[in-house]
Amino acid sequence: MKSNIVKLSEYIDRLNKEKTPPAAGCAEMERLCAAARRVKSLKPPAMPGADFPDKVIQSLAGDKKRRARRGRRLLGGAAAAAAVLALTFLVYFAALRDINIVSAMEQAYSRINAYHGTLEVVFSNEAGERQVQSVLDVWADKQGRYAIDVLEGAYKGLKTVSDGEKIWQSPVHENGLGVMPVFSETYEFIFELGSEIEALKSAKSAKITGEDTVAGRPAFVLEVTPEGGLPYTLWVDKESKIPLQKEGAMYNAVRYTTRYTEITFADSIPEELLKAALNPDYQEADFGEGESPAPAGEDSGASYEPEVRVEVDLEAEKAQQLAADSGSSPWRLDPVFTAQVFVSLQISPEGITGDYPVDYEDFVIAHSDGRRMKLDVLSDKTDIKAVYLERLIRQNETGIWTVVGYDLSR
Amino acid sequence: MNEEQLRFAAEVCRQTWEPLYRFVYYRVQNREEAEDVTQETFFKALSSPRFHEIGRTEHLAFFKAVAANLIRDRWRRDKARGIKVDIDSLPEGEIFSAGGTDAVDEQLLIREALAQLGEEQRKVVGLRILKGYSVSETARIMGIKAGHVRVLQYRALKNLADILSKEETHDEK
Repeated sequence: MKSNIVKLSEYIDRLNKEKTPPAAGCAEMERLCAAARRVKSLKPPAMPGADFPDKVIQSLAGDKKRRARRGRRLLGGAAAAAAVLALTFLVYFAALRDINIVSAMEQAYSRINAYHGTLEVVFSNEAGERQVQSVLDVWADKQGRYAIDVLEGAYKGLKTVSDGEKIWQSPVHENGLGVMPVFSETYEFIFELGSEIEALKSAKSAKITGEDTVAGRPAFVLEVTPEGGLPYTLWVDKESKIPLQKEGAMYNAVRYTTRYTEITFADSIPEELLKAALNPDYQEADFGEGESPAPAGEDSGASYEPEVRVEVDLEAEKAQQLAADSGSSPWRLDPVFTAQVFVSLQISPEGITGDYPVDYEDFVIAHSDGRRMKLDVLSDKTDIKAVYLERLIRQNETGIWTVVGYDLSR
Repeated sequence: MNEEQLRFAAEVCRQTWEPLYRFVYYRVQNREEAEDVTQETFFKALSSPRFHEIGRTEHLAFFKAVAANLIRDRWRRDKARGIKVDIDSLPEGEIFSAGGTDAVDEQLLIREALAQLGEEQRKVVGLRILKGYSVSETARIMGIKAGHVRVLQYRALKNLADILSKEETHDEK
């Protein structure tokens, strides 16, 4: 038989685990257990998950449904009405659940000041092959400040800090732009929790389609159709109601997934992480926003105004950039190869078999400023006499080239 | 309950669940039980004719009273099974006075009582209950054996219960 000393210890263990403790058993033990509860009341309460009111409401609806079923056994005519009512409840609460999950996420996020997590960016192709592109240590807060350290990937060691307005990076990159991409397809902080929840609020639809586990945590799976852009899937932690994983649609045979493998919440970002502005190892990032590239021809006399413009799908180009970052389609990093494929496809739109109809050596650089390039085509196998390319997604050596236009021979 | 009534119940539930949950948690001090009692409170209270007789401003007080009785009922069942509370027969005064505890005074009382414990006992209570460490973690931190931790916390809570009881008796006088 357990002594009261052991029983009291077990009682405290249960309270610490936020589980219902065993019965005290006797008046004296109840007095000691009550004292333990009173001490614990000095701590803030452990609140339930943000879906708790939804669960209560759904169980209330379930209770009404059961009552309706009982009624059916008694009254034939009333049974149909009860069934209709039950169905109404189900439809009503299914819709309510979808609305409520977004509202629950909003409420959950409103209680967070800052968070610290490990963010993984994963690429997958149509064959289902997956590759971790980068792993980031992320600190972020509601004021738009963040501190990101690339732990794994092409930019391992890169630290990016934002005070909500300006961005600093270390080590300083010698690409003339003073900035490197934190994420593969963008300089911006993707999968920032606040932005995700805002996007969800304005989405055309967001429906819970199932349940899954992300990084060992049970999660709701939401199919989201945004107002603009492609649908995506979001995994929302069942307990905290915080999005843990986002997966884009397969686009141009590439899909990317961002996932918090770990996340904890904090009062603020540690001050020392935000002091980048004062640190000489950091440089303020210059995105060159609003700047137009150097006019073509300034250095070569060549004109940069194609006769025929090629319509560009920026979303597709972003996907291509992701593919290039993960090692696929490396030819898109080579402007000459990109131009060669483009011209060859103009000659053989059905596809290229065997050698390219236009040789690599037939392309000569007429102008280049690092962002834009004009290539003269010295081949009589095509009417195209010049190809214009731009680095639309990322303006450094890791950015893919896109054909934006061409000139035809007269 | 028709759809409109159910919508109303859902709205009331959404507006009141948090203060109700806090009220329950304060008494039971664990999430599992607090969730169970809160949910059960809504079941009982929303299906009670009494709920439809009171005004909106009285909903929370009514829920708290129902919750207080459910907790009492649970604790009674620990001693003797089968005691049930008929919430519709509750006296008016009991329903609307529930939850009036002055939490600030209560916290002050507990802190003062803790301050009266010896250093070792105060430390063990702090580590085990306020910090939530296990017995073995507490033993490692304090540099004592696990068995000693259990004995210390037992004595500490016994002393604390005595101090609180004396303080409350003194206050009543």
